[in-house]
Amino acid sequence: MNQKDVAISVQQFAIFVSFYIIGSAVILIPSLLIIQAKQDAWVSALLAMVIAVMLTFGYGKLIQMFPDKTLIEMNEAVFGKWIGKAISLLYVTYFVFLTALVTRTLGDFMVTQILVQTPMEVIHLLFLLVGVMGVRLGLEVLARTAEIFFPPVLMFCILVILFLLPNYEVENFQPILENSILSIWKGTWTFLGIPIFDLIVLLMITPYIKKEERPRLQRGFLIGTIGGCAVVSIFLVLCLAVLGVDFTSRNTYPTYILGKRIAIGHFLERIEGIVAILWVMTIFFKMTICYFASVLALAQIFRLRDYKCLILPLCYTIMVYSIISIPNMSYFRMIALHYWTFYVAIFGAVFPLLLFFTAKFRQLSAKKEQ
Amino acid sequence: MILMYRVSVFLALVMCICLMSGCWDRRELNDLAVASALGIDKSKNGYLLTAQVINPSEVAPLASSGKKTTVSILQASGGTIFEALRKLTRQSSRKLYLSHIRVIVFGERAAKEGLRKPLDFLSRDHEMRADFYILIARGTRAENILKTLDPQENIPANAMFLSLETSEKSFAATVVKEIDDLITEIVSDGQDPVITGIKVTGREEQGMSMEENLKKVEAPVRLNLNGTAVFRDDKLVGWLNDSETKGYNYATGRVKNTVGNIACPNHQGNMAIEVMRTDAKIKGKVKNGRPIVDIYIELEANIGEVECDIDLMNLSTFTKLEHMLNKQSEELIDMAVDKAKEFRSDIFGFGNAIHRSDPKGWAQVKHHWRDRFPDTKVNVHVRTKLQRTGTITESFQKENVK
Repeated sequence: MNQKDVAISVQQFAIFVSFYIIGSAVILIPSLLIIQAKQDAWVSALLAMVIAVMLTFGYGKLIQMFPDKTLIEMNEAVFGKWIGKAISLLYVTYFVFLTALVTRTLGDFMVTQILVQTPMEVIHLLFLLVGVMGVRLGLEVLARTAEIFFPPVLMFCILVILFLLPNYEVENFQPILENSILSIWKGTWTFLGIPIFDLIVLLMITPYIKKEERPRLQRGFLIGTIGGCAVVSIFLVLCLAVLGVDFTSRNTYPTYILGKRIAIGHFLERIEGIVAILWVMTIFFKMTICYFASVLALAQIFRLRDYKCLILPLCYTIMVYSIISIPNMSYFRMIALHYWTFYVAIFGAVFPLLLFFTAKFRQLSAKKEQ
Repeated sequence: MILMYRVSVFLALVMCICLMSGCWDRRELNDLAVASALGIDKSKNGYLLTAQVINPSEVAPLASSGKKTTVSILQASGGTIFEALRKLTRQSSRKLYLSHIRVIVFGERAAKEGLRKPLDFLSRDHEMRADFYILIARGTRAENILKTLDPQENIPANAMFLSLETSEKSFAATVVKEIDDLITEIVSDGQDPVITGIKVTGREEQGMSMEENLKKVEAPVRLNLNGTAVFRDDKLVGWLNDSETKGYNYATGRVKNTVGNIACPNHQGNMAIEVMRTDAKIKGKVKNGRPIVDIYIELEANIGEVECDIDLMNLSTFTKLEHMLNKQSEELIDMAVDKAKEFRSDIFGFGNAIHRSDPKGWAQVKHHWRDRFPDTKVNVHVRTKLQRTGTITESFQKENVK
């Protein structure tokens, strides 16, 4: 089976992008950002959104240069066989690590808030097994699944926003811009690490977008990015407005607490379970896309005809990695706050820039190949 | 090939049965002891935890025998709240389930020593929701509050929860306080918390018995919301009485509906005014090193009761009454502010108000706010809009005078 026969539409891609940004960021970002930028965290989020849009244009340029190539194939085409493969292998470690971390995010969340006595391994296993199924069935099925889940996710997001209306307190934002530019930038920097720079992973699936829809790809990418960032930012603002600076920064999963705060009269309450499902859904797509990218990247590096034989072995790797990569909660928060973005920036900014300029320099592009 | 496919699908489904048989953490309703209230007291080496647990069979309307009490009390002490909570299982056949807690009562002594430490567990545990209210047992231990049966409500904790909610809504002499707000206020530099007090009237031992307390028209022992506890940081330092609490509620915009009396202009009796809606804003700044706070309040009120002969059809009467009301509310607030200054406890959040509108000024006073707070200049501006007179206009008191 030639994998490039698979085709998804731009609309499906845009939904992927949105889910990809929302998943895991929406439960991690509010408290991480508010710790750093206090009541001005929304400024950090807006700033990050602007950078995300710029980044989307940058990635769009790369896609335009090599519309039929995945990131891994681009590396090889531009840097040559050996250096290209070496960089690609680095990318594979990053993809696998990211998949493991996303899985772990979900595991930690479930074990802290909902299934307290359940071993995290069980949650990871069940979650990954669904991922295995998704990746085996291929990109088209995943894309259609995302399309089906999109309306309910959107609807619940809007409902949560509306149901919380009675609890908004504008005072929580005052005084505006009290904190230094540095602390606001620190918040933005964290947001860039989770999840903006991760968008590079999506370059693994752009070649599968239908040929006739390619001209609209840039627009779809942009809409997806803005939509995803907007949802995360809105929930960040909700946390600020409803829970306040102090409470949000002290809580591990403030967006879940938001669900607990919903109480319309005495009948519409205790719906935090639904809010949790919302996040699980989006995290699932982020995990599966990363998983798919890891499998595909590895297959392309070693020029395998079919990537399916890699699915299960990688599942074991991710499973183990998701458990051992983070010893405890405070380690995770330390990494996320201080180090993670530097690591991701290498893959999300440095290598793509290098790729872009080397390609320009060597005057390689799709046109010339033809 | 088709057979193989079918077999493998069958096997997959069978495996699904193993995995999806249920939730790992399932807890059946008949294994749970549903706690309705927790009481926290100081004990020699930590905390004495009292749990009011619902007896499900007695709460169910059809199955209840009427012979057993609807709730039972479990008690254990431990170095930490969590430990005490788990120790309760030694007395109970079921594990305590905390998600349905309506109120948490702190003993006065525990509150005097500080709430910071016990609050941590209540905020950290995943089973605790944030929708319960917090009360302080005034002049007694929390356990005595939880042990009192209520003649109206099956579950005493519900009685406390509902009476707190109702009295906040329609009398405004109590303060509903949830844990999140409480913690935020304790942690905040520019605000200190207040919590409503609760008291047992009558002989406490009588209140624990169904025979003595529930089978009489006038229950000899009752729970009574009484006063408001003022905290400095997390430690109880004093109490506000009803009018001071009202003043506090006016100033912080918590009054939804209340009744206040004013003397008739001609001193023949009283008038009751029902406040229908309020809106409060606190603005603060620091001027020449001195904190200045302005409280702006808008009241909408109706006349509820008239004992004297006044001309309600006359517009100038209304203006006069509005002036009187303004003055009275200002006095209430001033009283509360004076009390707060006496306790050196910024219960109104003046510090936060200054922080919001004058961040630079706040930076000057922030570090010794506790000492600066008492010499804050507080200006109260009340604007009352008196609107309706109820279903009748002129009072028939006029006829009496003849």
